[in-house]
Amino acid sequence: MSMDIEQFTNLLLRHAGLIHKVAYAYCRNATDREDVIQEIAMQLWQSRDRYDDRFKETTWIYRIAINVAVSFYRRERRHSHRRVSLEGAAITILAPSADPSPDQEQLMRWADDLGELDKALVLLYLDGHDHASIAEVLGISVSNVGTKLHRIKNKLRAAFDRRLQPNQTEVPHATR
Amino acid sequence: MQLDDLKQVWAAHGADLERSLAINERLLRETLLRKVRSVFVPFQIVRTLEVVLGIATIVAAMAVLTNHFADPRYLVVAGGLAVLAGYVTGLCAYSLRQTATIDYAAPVTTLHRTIERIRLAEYRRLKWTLLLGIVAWLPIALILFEALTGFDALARVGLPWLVANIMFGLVCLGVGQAMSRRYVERTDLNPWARRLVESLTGRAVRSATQHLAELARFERDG
Repeated sequence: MSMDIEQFTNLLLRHAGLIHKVAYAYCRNATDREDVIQEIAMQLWQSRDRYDDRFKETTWIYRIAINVAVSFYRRERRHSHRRVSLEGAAITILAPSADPSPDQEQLMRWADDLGELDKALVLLYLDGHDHASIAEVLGISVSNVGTKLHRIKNKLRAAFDRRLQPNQTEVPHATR
Repeated sequence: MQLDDLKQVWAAHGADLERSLAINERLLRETLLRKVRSVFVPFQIVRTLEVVLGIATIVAAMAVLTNHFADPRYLVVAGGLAVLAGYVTGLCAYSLRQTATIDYAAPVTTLHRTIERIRLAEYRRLKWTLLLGIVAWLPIALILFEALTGFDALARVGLPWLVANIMFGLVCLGVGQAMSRRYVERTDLNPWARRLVESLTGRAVRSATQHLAELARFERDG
């Protein structure tokens, strides 16, 4: 698939929600998110000629977005002191139209406690992907996806059960 | 609450976020072209130069070794140099080849395994380059001097002086390692210094190895 900058911009706009959600899942800081989105755009642009149209467009974008976000997350964890100025950024994140709902906040807090690969798996699941497509993005077997999701669901249930118990208001770490 | 109940929450979150993206087409074009140039070109130029220098070092060491094949001193120094230069050059060539073919559209586990292997090769390369540079700089310099000029410099240097120099290099390395352990927790180091202290303390290799093990567990854990 060969595309010019206009087609590429349209592609970014068409999948803005997806790219944003991946960035949001891995970075709670707005500057970092902007950095990740720029990096995702750059990798999409670089990979555009290698796109295989036998795969779904979203599978391709998800792979690149998660790969970039996980790399960024790991790099930032190693060099947490580094901050890059994004003055004049080509892609800008504006403040979301409304504050996140309590449920959204709770979901984000829970997702923060997942390891980076489990987080990618949950993210794809919450976006409605079936097991085969999650396996395709992550590069693991379909049965492995099923097993992992089952474990994560059990841990989530246990975490929410504990949260409902008196004297325990925090959601504990789900998986590490 | 179940994981499936969170799907609606997640969808609402996505819809909120979708409304908050702004793209400046002109700046996007400039950013893409500038970043692609700045990220990949220097790394590949430096690694290519290192591979060329590494091959030149191996050829030079082998040439000196051939001239003094019967002398055990040359066998140790020039032979050792050829082996270590071969190892470091191999790691360098591996990084170069892997980064040239890296594909961010690959499955997540595949890409991260590749990245971590490149990182491991880079840390090992840095560690052995430092080791060679600090401990054995004098014998290496003498061998390379002979390869360039034909003057047998190693024969002019007494064995006790050569050993003392290597011992001094080992002491410097020990001090460097002790200082690295002291500074490795500091957050205000620049990226180059951080890479150096993490390589010297072995933390970088440990971290990359652990991540590779994590990836393997994630793939296998069914």
